[in-house]
Amino acid sequence: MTTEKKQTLYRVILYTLFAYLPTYILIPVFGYAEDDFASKMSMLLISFSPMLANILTRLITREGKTDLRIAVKRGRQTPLCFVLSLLPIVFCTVGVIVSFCVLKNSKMVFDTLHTMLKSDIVNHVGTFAYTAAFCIPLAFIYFGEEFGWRGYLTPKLCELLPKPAAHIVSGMIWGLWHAPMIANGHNFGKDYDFFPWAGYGVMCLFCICMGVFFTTLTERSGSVLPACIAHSLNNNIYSLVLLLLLAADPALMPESQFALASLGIVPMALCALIVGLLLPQKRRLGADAGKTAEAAS
Amino acid sequence: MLGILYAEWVRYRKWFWIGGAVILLYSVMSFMVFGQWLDPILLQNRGTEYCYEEMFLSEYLSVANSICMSMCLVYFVVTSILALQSIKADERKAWAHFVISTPQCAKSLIDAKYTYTLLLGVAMCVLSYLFETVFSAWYCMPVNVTALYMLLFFVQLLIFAICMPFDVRFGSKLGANVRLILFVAMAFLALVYFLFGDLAIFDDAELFGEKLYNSLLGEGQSKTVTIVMAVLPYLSMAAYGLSYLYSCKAYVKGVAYFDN
Repeated sequence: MTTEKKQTLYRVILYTLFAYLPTYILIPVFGYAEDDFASKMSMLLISFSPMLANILTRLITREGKTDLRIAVKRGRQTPLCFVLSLLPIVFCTVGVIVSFCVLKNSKMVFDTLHTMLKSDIVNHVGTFAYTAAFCIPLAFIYFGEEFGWRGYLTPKLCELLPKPAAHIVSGMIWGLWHAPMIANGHNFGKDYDFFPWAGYGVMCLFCICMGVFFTTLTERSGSVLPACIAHSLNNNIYSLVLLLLLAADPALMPESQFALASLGIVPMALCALIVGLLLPQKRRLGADAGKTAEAAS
Repeated sequence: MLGILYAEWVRYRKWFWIGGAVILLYSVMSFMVFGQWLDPILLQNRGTEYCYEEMFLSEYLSVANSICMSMCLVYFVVTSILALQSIKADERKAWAHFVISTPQCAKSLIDAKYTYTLLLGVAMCVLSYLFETVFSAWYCMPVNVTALYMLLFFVQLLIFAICMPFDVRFGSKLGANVRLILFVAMAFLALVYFLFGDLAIFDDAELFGEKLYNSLLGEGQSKTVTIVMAVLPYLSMAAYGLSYLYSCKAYVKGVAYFDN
């Protein structure tokens, strides 16, 4: 292993440690999202811990401000990345509806949708429209995560490993970062077989798929901003559609929250994987063209 | 563009400090005033189940929400003033001709102005989010005004999207006159509303905050408010984009209106 790679590995380990410490210490000590000051403030710190880990690692290893991945680069793919970051609006909505259809009677689900739209279309469509729009400025909350995972960890892992392996390792690290929250019933509840290990597994798989998508957006646009928007939409649209449907008909709630959440994320995960892998690799094409030109000369 | 953004920061550094001081002062004051006003026994028992009882919430939550709403408005006003100030800067013919002669023409300058406003809007959201989170954590109250500051973010974009092209095309003096006409028109519309509209919300000054919260974000949200909230973000995003495109084109023509 070259000295450069050793240094990168050291940075990855240090970064992971800094990102994990608040989550793995503060949640067991102060509890998860409880109604006291310490718990709530620790949640605030946790949501920005990957960003702080990025800054701390750069300071300690004297890496400086290179490749911060904040400013959007000018290019033909940048607007496309911002458009693609809106995909969760469609696929999270589809995910919730599909999971209800699978776990409950599909006729019941479509009847509920029909009743919702017939009874108060302005309220439901309006709420959906403004929540989707509000997710864009709300993306600053997810900057805390994306600036760390996509802005620092994944590029560093790409220097150490082949790209597919880097995506898997990065997704696993990101997924396991959620472990203390999953152990407290966030995302999947507590009432399922192999609790909490099954939850960790599903979260890691989902994070790998979403990681490929978010990394592609970041690479193509040169900035973590499209990934922040996609992350914000992914987290909020899913909850919104779920709440709207359950408010319209509480009988839709299946017995297992784990099954609902696991099935609901499948369309988005598949879409993320497909888009992440198929988005035109402009740089590679450019590099190939360069090589061809070099060979010809 | 980063250089011009840095120049904006250097030029308005003084105003940033003043704005920061105002924000800090208001935030600390409203935090302490609510603490003083709250029953000391309740303050000691915050976080206990008692604080989540309906009676407690009905009495104190509306005031807490009103405080957070007013803080969002303070952040909105301060960041809007900083954003609007940047419009009238750089009105020198020599500088304008230099900018036009660069490879990107006036685009980099206009880019910087629009990015600067966007950043101020995000700063307003971050400040509101932090205040809301710390306030709700400290007093253990389920305060939620997220929708309000998200809405204000888009209002700020819309205001800037309307004002900027006039200043770019006609210079800040004429632009300010056009802005004045717009604001007078808005004031006139408000006057018409105050004369003939539904003023039930202003009946009781003490309940104003609660009523406003309910009609905007709470259960009493009317269809009109929902439609406005749904349309405004898309309208302001479209206006911001169009305004940017027009400003890029109109900058060269606007140089003729510069005084020196």
